[in-house]
Amino acid sequence: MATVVELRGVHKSFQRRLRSATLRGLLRDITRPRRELVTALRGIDLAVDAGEMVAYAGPNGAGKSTTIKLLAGLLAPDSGTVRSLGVDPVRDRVRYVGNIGVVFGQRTELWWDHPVAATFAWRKTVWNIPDDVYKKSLAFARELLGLDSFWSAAARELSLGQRMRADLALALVGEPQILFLDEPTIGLDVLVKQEVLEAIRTLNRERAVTVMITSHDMADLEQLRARIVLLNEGAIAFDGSFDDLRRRMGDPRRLVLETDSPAAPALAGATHVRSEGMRHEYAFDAIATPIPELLAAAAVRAHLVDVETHRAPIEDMIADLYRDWRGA
Amino acid sequence: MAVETIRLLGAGARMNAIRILRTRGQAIAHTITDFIWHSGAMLAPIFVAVRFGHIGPWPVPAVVFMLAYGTVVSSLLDALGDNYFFISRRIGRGQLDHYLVQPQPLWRILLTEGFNPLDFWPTLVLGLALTAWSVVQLRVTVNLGWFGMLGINLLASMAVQTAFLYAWGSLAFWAPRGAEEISSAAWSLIGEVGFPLDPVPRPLRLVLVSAVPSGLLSWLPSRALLHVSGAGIVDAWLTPVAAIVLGAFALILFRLGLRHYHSTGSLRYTDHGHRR
Repeated sequence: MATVVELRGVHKSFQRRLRSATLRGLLRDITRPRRELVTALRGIDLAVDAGEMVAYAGPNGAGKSTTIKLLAGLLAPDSGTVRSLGVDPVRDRVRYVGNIGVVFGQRTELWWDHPVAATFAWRKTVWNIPDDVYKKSLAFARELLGLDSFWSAAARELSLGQRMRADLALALVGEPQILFLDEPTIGLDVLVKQEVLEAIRTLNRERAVTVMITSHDMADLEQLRARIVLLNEGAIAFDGSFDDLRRRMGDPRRLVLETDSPAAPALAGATHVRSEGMRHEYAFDAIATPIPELLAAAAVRAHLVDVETHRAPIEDMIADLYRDWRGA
Repeated sequence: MAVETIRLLGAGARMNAIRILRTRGQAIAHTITDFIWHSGAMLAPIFVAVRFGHIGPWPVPAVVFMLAYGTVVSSLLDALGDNYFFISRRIGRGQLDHYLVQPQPLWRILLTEGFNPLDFWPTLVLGLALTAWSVVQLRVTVNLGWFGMLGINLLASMAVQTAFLYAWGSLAFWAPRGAEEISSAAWSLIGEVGFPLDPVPRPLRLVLVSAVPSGLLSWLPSRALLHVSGAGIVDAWLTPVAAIVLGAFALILFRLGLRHYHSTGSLRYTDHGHRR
């Protein structure tokens, strides 16, 4: 499969001016300004194939948005090369951005006082989209994201969810080859989030659009069943599937036993977390201690009334991972 | 290139029409308030000229011509949208990102996005009508050459104003927060001179046609076109030459700033004022 996005040894750093809160410090800052170098990306190597869906994740300040800005032609790297669709996004900006769609979750491309429909017509002109492509892609986007109910409403009257659906649809008009989505689900309620994520999946599956998406919400990203690239302090810490990630991090689970006694039975390979009445909760790693083995041991030590096992939420696992990174 | 620019101006005009013609009441109120705003700004110097019969060597119709010239310049610029007026805001608030994701050269986006001809036609009509009235009153010999010079000077005055605002506005590339409103402040510096500058002391007058070029927005071109105080054909080329020099300076500054923007990006973003 052809590589459509390629980053080679990309470094990007920013200067941050340090400011004082005291009068003396402020005067000193005027005469001798102090700056610190913030490294956003350090030697990123990444290749994305056509039709791939890549979830780009990491803690705050890891360099996710910087990468998206580099790929959208908004930023140039300090060193290294950025190629997307075979061109340099900054140097060939005009030609390049016509073939991509960009959505920033915290910004809108919609004209505020205008009906949603007007922004789409405006985009057709500015993007120079041929009539047939426009009609086809617009029909697809309207149906996929359910725009009909607010098609004639002014953008300022839309809910956050409607606005995001419209922004996403807008990025689809003209059939872009790659879609860069920076935090597209931020602030959305659960239902709208599901709809937006489902639309992104459909787009990738049915139209083979390459998607690169950033989010803080790991559960969202896992739902997309995408390849995940985890960033930590500007470097790629993990690149693979969610299954690989879970395997690498072990398979932390919870076991809840309901017995006929308020005393929690001791189980080798599991840590007792808490008890409520006759319900006892344990944490264990399902790879180190297989579930049948644990259940057999529990059956010997107590009279079991009910048994539940839960996979640890990906959010908890990633939070542990981030904590480890920070500690390291 | 020109066809593409016109196409985008058309898209801007359509967006403008959609906004203005939302309701009949809105359209009427918009037109009337615009008309009052601009005609009101012209009244003070006209009253002064009428009261004293002239301002320096300028008879009343010449004062009216100068003010009408300035009105035509500002209404044409305003019709091209507020990107020139708020360029520092676009830069300082990180809104330039919205333009850089459009598959068009940046100059074309800045020129065409927000084109709002329906907003400013009453002011333009007022300016043109007063220009015509004053030309008749002054018995100016109007021929193709004079019209040509009028057109060149109008474009030059627009370029001077735009270049001045862009030059100051470019500072927002380096000081996004501090210089966020600097282009509208720069406009306040050059856009409020509504009187002929002849009575002003010569050193100050020199400043007002160079470093703070408010004199180039209506006074100097009108003086040349009406041959006030013996001004001739050479004077009619002063504003176009100044426009080229100032335009080149602003372009260099803006390009340097844009390179800086590509290097540092926008460290802050606020949507306030963007397409609202």
